[in-house]
Order: sequence, then C-alpha cells, then structure tokens
Amino acid sequence: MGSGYELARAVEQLIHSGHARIDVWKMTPRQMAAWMQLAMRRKFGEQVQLLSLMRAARSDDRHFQTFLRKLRDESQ
Amino acid sequence: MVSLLDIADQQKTVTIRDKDVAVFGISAQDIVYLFGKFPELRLLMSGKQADLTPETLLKLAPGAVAAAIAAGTGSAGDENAEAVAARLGLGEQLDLLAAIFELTFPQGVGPFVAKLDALGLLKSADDASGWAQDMSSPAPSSS
Repeated sequence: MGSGYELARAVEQLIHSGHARIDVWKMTPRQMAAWMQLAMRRKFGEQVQLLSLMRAARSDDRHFQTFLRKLRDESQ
Repeated sequence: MVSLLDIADQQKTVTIRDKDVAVFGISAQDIVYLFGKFPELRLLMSGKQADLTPETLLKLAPGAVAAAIAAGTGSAGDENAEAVAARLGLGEQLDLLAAIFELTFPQGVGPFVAKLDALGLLKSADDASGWAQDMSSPAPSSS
C-alpha cells in the first residue's frame, strides 16, 4: 500500500484527535508525526490513570474511600 | 523525543547564487499534489523502496525534483517556479532539497514511516498488531 494511504491515516488520526481539518492539511509530515506522538503519550497517560482507578475500585472499601477522599481533596 | 521545533512552522534560508531563498516544509496538501503529478513518489515514501533522500529523489524521480523544490519554496503547482527550479544546477537543487526534507520529515523519511508503523498506522485493519489490537476484547467463549 502506497504512502498516500499512510498520509490519509495520519490526517484522519489528527482530525479525530481534535485538530481542525484545514490545519492538518497544512502540516508537514514532521509536524504530523510530532502531534501524533504527543497524542499517543497523552493517551497512554490516560490509560495509566484508568488502570489506576480500576485497581483502586477493586481494593477494599476502606482503601477505596481513602483513595476517593484523596482525589476529592486534590480536586478542590 | 518530540520537541517544540517539531510542531512549529519553520523555515530555513538557503543561499543560491548569492540570493537568500526561503525554504519551508512541504505540507500534506502539497504532498497530495506531488503524488497526483508523480505517482512514483508514493512508492518512494512507502518505505518499501530505498529510503527517500534528496539523492534518491534525484535518481528515481528526477521529474519530481523541480516540483518538490517549488512546493518547498512556497510555490506548489506554480509552473514558473517549477521551471526556475528545473534550471538550477544539481548542487543547488540538492542544497534546496536537503533543507526542504529536513523541514518536512522528522530525521528523514525512514523514521517517519517507522513512527507511523509504531503507531499501527501502516497496518491494515485486518492485520493490525499494534496497541489498538492489544486493547481489544477476546472473542466470547462458545461454551
């Protein structure tokens, strides 16, 4: 499959990530790769956060309440 | 590691015949224009052929050189600009292409293709083996 496909996938990925279509088409491949790498890192960070929450939810009630209270305190 | 310079709009200046020429990276829409005009570029950029460098571009798709230089100097599709670029000497074309490539691709085309591959963007949906597939749920048991 030629690189036109890969470029199209990169364009789609960036638009899906929230970049304006007109901005994406003006990006160079260098910029596209950099934005995708940053998005990937953010995504992995979110996955770590999600896994942490899932693990906390599976702990006993006392630990879960402590975790929840800590989150609430930090969010104030 | 991605730096601020990778996401910023950048330009370089290349001196040709004592004149400063502003050089930019080639945008996705200009690459699409080049693909339409020179289909051989698609194979070059797919990573299945020799890595795309200014030298391989000159060797494998010489017709695309002037158009790429025109695109990289802000005049994509401008036939006059392409004609001027076509009349430049080989060394001058290589100097311009080197700057254009540096601004267009992250450390050459190879790493760009490798990065897309690492992100699972070079795989078809059927044979994807990247992160997305790893996150999919197993098929339900039939028992």
